[in-house]
Amino acid sequence: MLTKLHPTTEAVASSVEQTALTALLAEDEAPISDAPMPCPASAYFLLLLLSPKQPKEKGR
Amino acid sequence: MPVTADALRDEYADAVERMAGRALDALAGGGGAVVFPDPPSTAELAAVRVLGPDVFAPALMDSRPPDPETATVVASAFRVFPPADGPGAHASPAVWRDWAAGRLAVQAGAVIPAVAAPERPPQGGGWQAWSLAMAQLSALALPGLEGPVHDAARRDPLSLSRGAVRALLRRDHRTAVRLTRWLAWSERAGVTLPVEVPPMLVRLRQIGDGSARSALEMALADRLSAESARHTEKPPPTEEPPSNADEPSTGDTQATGEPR
Repeated sequence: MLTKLHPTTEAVASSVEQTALTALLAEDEAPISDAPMPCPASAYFLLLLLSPKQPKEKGR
Repeated sequence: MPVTADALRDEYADAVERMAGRALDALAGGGGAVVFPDPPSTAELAAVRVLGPDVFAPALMDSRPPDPETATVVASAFRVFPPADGPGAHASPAVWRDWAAGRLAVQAGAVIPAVAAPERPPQGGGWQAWSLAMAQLSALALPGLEGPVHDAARRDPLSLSRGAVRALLRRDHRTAVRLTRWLAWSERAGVTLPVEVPPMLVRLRQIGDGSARSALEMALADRLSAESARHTEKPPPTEEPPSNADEPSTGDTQATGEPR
């Protein structure tokens, strides 16, 4: 008959395993916010597109 | 081939995600408990240690006692990954999670060495540092669990609210969800808050980070908030109020039921 064995004594985690766990236990806040950042290059391109043309001088 | 701590950490982080998914399923199913693999792997036991009291959340949210099978797995996790001990150990907020998980496991009949409670809950360093420490302890924001951390949360709803709003503005989703969970817990405990929780939950649902762990925190915050709304719901009036439509209203009658 097959018997399901429940181990009563598990091996204690190694120091490397403990270190890996400790890193997950104390999660700090996100280091930087991912708030929208300005993107100057695209802003300049938009300014070029949207800016009106220079007025031409008449009567010449 | 030697296994590095980084590789193990990634493996454990994946296991935490899977375990949080299991807890989420049990919470959504209603009336169930977390279904653990039999036997659980080392990574899964690490995940149980990381989630801490949240593995008991499905039972506690339904006002049931902690599940004995869950307690057995928690006891195994404590044997394989013993709680940190020593002079510097009590400085870590994680000790409170171990204390709470151990207490619930013992309550469910598991035999584990008692985890000593730290001398005092997180304090000092201003509202910002304090709220971050409380965010790390959000797994304690469960019904049926009481202790010095809960008393501290009741005493300072303003710092919790400030921390939650700051995290929302920084788009630090997980910290925001964790502190909002504390706020929902506080409201359920009858604490008057300087912010409204439901709009914060709506916003957090819109900007979810997609992880099962955050989804679990979110689901628990939702449940706590829904329960506090049920608790504060006013009973329907027993008598029909007299019709005063023709009379001009006075300032006294308008003053009642004003929003917070």
